[in-house]
Amino acid sequence: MSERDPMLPEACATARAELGALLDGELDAAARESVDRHLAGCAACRAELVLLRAVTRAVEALPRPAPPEAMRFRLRAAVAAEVAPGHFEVRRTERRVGNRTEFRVTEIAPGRASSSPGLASGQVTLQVIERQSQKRVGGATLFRRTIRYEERRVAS
Amino acid sequence: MQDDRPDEELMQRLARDDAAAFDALFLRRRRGVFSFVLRMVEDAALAEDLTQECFLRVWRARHTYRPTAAFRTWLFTIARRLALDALKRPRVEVAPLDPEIGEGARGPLATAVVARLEAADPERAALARALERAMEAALSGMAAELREAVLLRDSEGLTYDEIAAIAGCPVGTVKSRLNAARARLRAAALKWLEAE
Repeated sequence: MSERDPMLPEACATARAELGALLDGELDAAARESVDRHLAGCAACRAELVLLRAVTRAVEALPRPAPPEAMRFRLRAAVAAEVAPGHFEVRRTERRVGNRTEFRVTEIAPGRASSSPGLASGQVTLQVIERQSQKRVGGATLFRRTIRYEERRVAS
Repeated sequence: MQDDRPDEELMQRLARDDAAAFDALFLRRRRGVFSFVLRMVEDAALAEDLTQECFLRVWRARHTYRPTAAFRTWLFTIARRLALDALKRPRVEVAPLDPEIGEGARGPLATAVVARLEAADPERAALARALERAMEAALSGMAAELREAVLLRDSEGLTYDEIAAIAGCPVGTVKSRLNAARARLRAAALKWLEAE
C-alpha cells in the first residue's frame, strides 16, 4: 500500500509497498525474494496480501459490458461516409429521437449499386430500410441507395 | 466469424483500406474500450459516443499508424484521452471521495476480516454482487488517474509498462497510483465486510 502507516515497522511498510507489484508479477527476482522472505516471517503482511488479492480479483471479475451491436453499423456507415475515392458520393445524417438513434446513409454510385450490409443479431432491435433508384444523367446511370438504420435499446 | 490474426497484422491490412480488418479489430476490442470508457465517464450514452469516436480515430489514422507500440496500447491511449477530455466538460460530475474510504482499518481488523474473506465462497452470487457493488462505488469515487490505472491493470490486464505508455508517465508513477487505488478498494472491501 502506498500510504504508509507510521505505526508499522519499517520492514512491514517496505514489504507492503511491494505487495501490489508482487501480485501483478512486476517485481524483479531480487525484489520478489526480499518480499517473500519478509512474508515468510510476518503473518500480518501475509494477511494483507490475501486481502489485496481478494480485492484485485473482485475488480478483475467486474462485468465488462459491450457497446450496443448497432455501433458496428454506425461505424460502418461513418467509415463509408469517409471513403469517397471518387467512385461514389456518400451523404450521412443522424438524429436522435427519444431513446432511438436514426441515421441515414445515402450513396450515389455511377453505374453500379453497392452491396447491402449484413444485419446484426443481439438485444438491440436494428432495422435497416433501404431504398434504391436509378436515373440517367448525361451518359451515365446513377444508382441511388438510401439505407435507414433504426436502433431501439432494450431496457435492462 | 472470429478473426484470429494479431491486432498488428489487422492494422497493416487496415492501412490498405481493408474495411473487414477494421471490423475485426472493432469486434475484438470494443468490449475493452467501452467498459473502460464507461467506468471512466460513468455515462452510458457518452461512453457509446466516445467508443465510436475512438474507433473512428483508429480508422482515420490507418495510414499514419506505425507499429512501434502494441495496437492495444495505442487504442487505449486514444480512449483514455477521449475519456479525460470528456471528464473536463462540466456536465460530468465525479462523486466526491467518501471520507471514510481511505487507508481504512489496519492490523488486527484486517487480519480478522481476511479470515472472513478466505471463508467466503467466491461462487456465491449474492456475496459476489455485494462486493462488486462496493468495488464499483470505490472506483467511482476515485480520482481519474487512479481509476484508469486500476482498470487498465485489473480489468484489461495491461502491464505497468503499457499503462505508463498510455498514461504518459513513468512506471514508478503507475505503481504508486495502483497502490493508492488499491488502498481505497481495500478500505471499501473492509467497510463492506464490517457491514455484512
